[in-house]
Formats: sequence, C-alpha cells, structure tokens
Amino acid sequence: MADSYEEIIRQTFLEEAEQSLADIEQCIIEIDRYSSRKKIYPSEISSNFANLFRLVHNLKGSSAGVGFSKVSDLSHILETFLTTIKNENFQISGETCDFILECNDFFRKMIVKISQNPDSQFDLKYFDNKAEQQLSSMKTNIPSDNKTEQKKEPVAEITEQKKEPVAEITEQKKESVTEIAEQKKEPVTEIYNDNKLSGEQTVMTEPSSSTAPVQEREQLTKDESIRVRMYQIEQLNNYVGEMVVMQTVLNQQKTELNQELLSKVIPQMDKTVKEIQNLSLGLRMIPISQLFTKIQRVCRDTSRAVGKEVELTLEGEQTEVDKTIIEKISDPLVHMVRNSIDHGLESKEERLRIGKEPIGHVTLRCYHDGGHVIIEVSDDGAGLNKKLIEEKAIKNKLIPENHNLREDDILNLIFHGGFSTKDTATDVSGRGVGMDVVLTNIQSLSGEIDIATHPGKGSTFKISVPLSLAVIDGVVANVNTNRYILPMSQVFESVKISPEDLDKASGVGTIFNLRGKNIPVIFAHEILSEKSSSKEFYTAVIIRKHGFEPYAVLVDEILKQQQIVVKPISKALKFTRSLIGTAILGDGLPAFIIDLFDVSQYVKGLAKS
Amino acid sequence: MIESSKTTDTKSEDRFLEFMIRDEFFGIPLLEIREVIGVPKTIPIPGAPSWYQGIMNLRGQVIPIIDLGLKLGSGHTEKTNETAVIIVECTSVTIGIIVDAVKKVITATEKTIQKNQSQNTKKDLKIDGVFRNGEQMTLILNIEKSLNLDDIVNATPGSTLI
Repeated sequence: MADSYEEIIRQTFLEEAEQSLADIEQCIIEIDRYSSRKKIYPSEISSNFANLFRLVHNLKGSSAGVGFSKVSDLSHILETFLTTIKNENFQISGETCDFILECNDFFRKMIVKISQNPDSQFDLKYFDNKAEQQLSSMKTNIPSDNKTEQKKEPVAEITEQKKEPVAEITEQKKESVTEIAEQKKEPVTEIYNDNKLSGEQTVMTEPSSSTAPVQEREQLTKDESIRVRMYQIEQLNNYVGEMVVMQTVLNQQKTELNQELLSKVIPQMDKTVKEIQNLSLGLRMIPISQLFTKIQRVCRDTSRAVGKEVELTLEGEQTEVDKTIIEKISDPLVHMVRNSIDHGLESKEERLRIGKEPIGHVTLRCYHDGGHVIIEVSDDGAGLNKKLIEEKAIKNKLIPENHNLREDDILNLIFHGGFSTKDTATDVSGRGVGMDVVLTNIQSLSGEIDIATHPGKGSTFKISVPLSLAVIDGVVANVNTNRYILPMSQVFESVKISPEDLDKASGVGTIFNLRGKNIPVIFAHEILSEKSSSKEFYTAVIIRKHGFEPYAVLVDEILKQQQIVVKPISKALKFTRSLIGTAILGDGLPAFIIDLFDVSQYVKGLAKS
Repeated sequence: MIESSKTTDTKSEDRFLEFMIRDEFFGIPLLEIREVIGVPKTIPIPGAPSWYQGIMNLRGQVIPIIDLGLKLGSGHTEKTNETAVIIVECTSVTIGIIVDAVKKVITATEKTIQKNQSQNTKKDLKIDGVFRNGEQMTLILNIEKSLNLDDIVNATPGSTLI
C-alpha cells in the first residue's frame, strides 16, 4: 500500500516535471530574447526571472518530497545561482542563459532516466563548478563605464522591487516546509493548519501587487484542467462514433415510425449527439504553443551555432491541433526552421552589404483553413536558388541535363533523399537527409507542403494537414461485393470508363488514355486480393502522388462521399499492405481505408516525374 | 488439511472457459476473456491467411476474427446454432476466435492440470496442460503461442503468415 502510494506520487511528479521544465525553458528563452536586444526591457526580464525562480524553487521542493535527491540537488545549485545573480544584480548574458538551458536539458535527461529506473545516479559536480565559474566571471565583468551603468540601473531597480516579495514568500514557504519536517510525527490536521496559517500570513503581510497575481494564477491553472489518459479519450471517441452511427439509423427510420413523440425527440437527439461528437473529438486538440516553445529553443541554438542573429516571430500560438499531429509534425518543423536559419538567411555581413536589416527574421504561423491546419515557416533571406538546385540535381544525376521541368518541379527536387546544396555538411544542416523525411512525415499525416520563394526576399514553406486525424473526408467505393474507403485527400479526380478504354501495352501493364495522356492503371481487386470479375463500367480514381506521374486505381463504382472516423488498424493485422486504418460505415459494418499513395509501388510502368 | 479450506474458494486464475472445436474440448483462462458473442457479420481482410475470417465491429471497436479450427488444422468451421465467438484479450491485441460451441466454466487448479503432455499431434496446437474430468479431457490452450501472436504483431506489411 505504502509502496503504491509512493509510486503514484512519483509518477505524478514525473508527469508534472515535464511541464515545469518546459515552463522553465520558456522563461529563459524570454529572458534571453529581451536581454540580448539593444533596447532592454527590464520589466519583462524581471517578471520572467521571478517566474523562473519560482519554478526552480517548486521543482526543488517537489523533487525532494518524492525522494529524487539528485533532481533537488541540481535545483538547489540552480536556485543558489539565481539568488546570487539577483542579490548581486549581475547582468544576465547569453552565457548565463546557456548555462541555465544546459541545466534544464540535464533535468530532462534525469527525468527520463529516473522514470526508467528510480535509483539512477548522476554526477552533478560539473554543474556545481560551472555555476561557480559563471558567477565569478560575472563578477569580474561588471562594466564600469557610465553608459552601460545607466542602462543597467533601471533593470536592477525594478528587479529589486519586484523580486523582493518573491524572496519573502520563498522564505516563508521554506519555513513552513521545515516546520512540517519537524512536526512530522504530529497529526496531519495540524500540519494543514500550519500551512494555512503561514499562507494567511503571507497574504496579510504581503498584499502587494506582484504576489497576489502569482498565487491567483497558480490557483487558476489548477482549476482549469485535469489530466486524462489518451486511452480514455480514444475510448470515448469510439463510443461516441458508435452512437453517431446508431443515431443515423434512427434518423433514417423516423419517417417510417410515424410516432409523434419519436419524430420530435429524434431530431433533438440528433443535435445533441453532434454536439457530443464535436466535443469529444475536440478533446484530442491542444494548442500548438507547446511545440512553438520547442522551436524557440531550436531557433536560439541554431542561430548561435551558425552565428546569425535571428528574430523569431510566432503567430497563432493558441491554434488547436490534434495531439498526434503535433507529435508527428514536431521533427519536420524543427528541421525546417533550422534550414531557414542556416540556408535561408544570409550572414550578417551579407545582409548589411545588400541593404537588409542585420537581424534575420523567421516567422512561424499557424491557423485553421477549412478542414485543415496550416503551418507556415517563412524567412526574409535569400530565397531558394533555382539555378543551384538545378545544377546540383544534374550533378547528382537526379534529373537528366536536357530535362524540361517546370520551375515548381525544380523547387520540389529539394525533397529528394540525399539532396543538399551545401557543399560541406555542418552540425546544423547540409547532410541532405531531412527534406525527404519532412515530406514523408507530412504525407503520412495526409498533408501537403508548398514552397513559395522570391529571390532576395525570402521563402515560405507552407504545411497543410487535416485538422484531425480522427476524422477524414472519405470516398466509399465498391470492389466486388466489399466496400473500401479512399481518403479524399489522395483522390485527385475520378472518371467513369468502360473496359474498352483500357489498353495493354507490353512491359508497362494496363494503361488508359485520359485527355490525350496515357496513364498506368492498377485494378483495386489486385491489391486487395479480391476476385476479378468483368464489369460493364469501372471508375478510375486518378492519383497524383508527389514525385510520380499520375496513375489510376480502378474500383467498381463510387458509392458516396462522407466523413469517416478513422480507427487505427489492429496490431494483429500488421501484415496487410496499403491499408491506413479501418472505419465503421453507416450500417455498422467495418471497412478498410486504402492508402492510395502506397499503392504506387504496385503500379507497373509508373514513371517518376 | 488446512489447505483444503483454501481450495474451496476458487481463485479467478483457476477458472477456465471450456469450449469445443469439432469433437475436442479446450479451455482458456477466464481472465483473458472479455465476452462471448454470436457469429457476427465480418468483412474479409485483404492479403490475410485463410484462418483470418475477417474484421467485425464490436461496439465501435474493429476486431479481427480468427477461425481457430482452421488454424489448428481441423478445417473450416461450419456455422450452426451453437457456433460462438470468444473475444480474447491477449497481452498485445484483442481478437475474436470462432469455436463450435461454448460449454461451461471449469475450475482447474495447478494441481489438477497435468503439464508436459506430449500427445500433441497438431502442428500449431500449443497447450499449457491437460485437465481430466473422468473420461473427458480438456486441453488448456495457449492462445498467444497457438496463433503465433508474437510473430503477427511484429509482422511487416506484405509479409506472409503461416
């Protein structure tokens, strides 16, 4: 019993620590952003510093509480470090932020290790020493000329004012903690009383403006949300999906029932069910801000590594996106932002030479557009060099010398594996693995990516993915007696054809002529191991997959188009090919969803474009 | 004799659901079973081995159904009034298995189950032991091993299962 209780609080700590570390990172990045500019924003710095201090202090307390002593030791080192900075009014430099970020990264490592093995040991000497070094170098670096002094003065003052109360609260909290520790053997109620008392004292003695909001905010965030397991949400969505199906049946029957009460209730019920469906699908959605925070860090690290000054602008941080999409889009986005900074932006000298602002700008934008989430990464750099891309592609034998590619297609060459215009690979980019992975990841989300580039003005990469993976637009098609679902996003167009329109060409399999162009086809029943049967008409579904000439999949007929709740394929069916998932149709029977892009590998005579 | 008082209140681990495939009796641990249902309408699975009957909709969850008789080499299961599907929750997946008839719940302790019976003639039949009740013999089936579930859940797309 005692063991399991301990386990539960440890688990809770580990889950919450992740959030705390993300918050800490956010604070440091903000501080770094505000302090590295020419104009200094003292109030922003000090409020973030106060937050940072509070977060580190909380981490120290909670980790000690669950017995993760090394985590609390490192928090202690960091806390002492921050206290000294505050007390001595040291100026926060980029190196200071680097150090704090380094600590934060190590916290993450510890959390991962500890969650695998609670008894993991860590050596913190490095951080102890480095904190000392940093502090002593800051001491010697205190500038003496008046100009900087003046600039620094206001920071120090406001920091003082604002931070005073924080320090005091901390003091008091600490007291109550030690009190609790001392009175461990006393009954629990007394401890609560003590806590309450010291809490009241805080409010009474410090009704000052800055303490109250901090506490209020804490209170608010605690009330606003609860943690729910992803599994439960998926279950809920399953049952709601089932309810929607049953509701559809009721709707179809209501005219035949001829009962006044029922014909009133069913439409009302219909509305409620739809509301519930929207709500339950919405549970999977979280704001993209979490991912944007990660990008801020990447941007900071990359700009340092390549020695370019970058200002990152974030737009639409509160846009809600399906959790799975956020997870899958994270790596591609990181890669693209790195690319924008390393390849896109010019060096500071170059920018000055051509009359641009020395600081490069990268913008991340996220918004909803119809049933899609759009994420844009733009920079104001040199733009993509079509000529260079073309030359490289010819050199790497990706395209023949006498190609006749359109401009768009030349740009799209950057999505080929092994393609890089950088001559030497760096830590940051240039290995040519990346954009092809970006494309694959985005396509696996049934998404698309577009490039817009203007020489000398910059480029924009626009990712478009469906709002939710759980619901897609689907086309229901018949193959023999069975129904299959084709994702709408993969269907370019569909044409009704008769068997006479089909030609057999030697070596390339079956083709048919669509508006003067020969298109290779594959029969759906071949990929689905269904029996073949002769039909009067087929429906050819035309697919344009990136990097391939168009091809067609022949189904018997298209029945209808509808919204599909996607269910992942059972683990017992991993051997199946070209299937993305399953879904339950209106009559309650399941159907498979075909991945039309994956089908390309079975199409004979399909040429790459 | 003190032990006997313990054995009378049966632990759920000791209970098995007994069912028939053709004329043989089998048992699987009750704890692995979610429910027993009639034979549902199924949709064929492209590229699946013959013993995969298809997928079904179980209250919103899509579950593969396996013809256990076919897998064990006893041929295709003909549907009768008694044919049933047992929904089994294995460690990694939930699947349904078609059986000719579900009989009863039996209690078999470790003591009453005979292990290491080597009269195993069928290739895919993997049993954890045999429970004898008078003349009748019930084979305690190891579903995960009999269906090679390890291989199945680690299969790559397009691979052929045996």
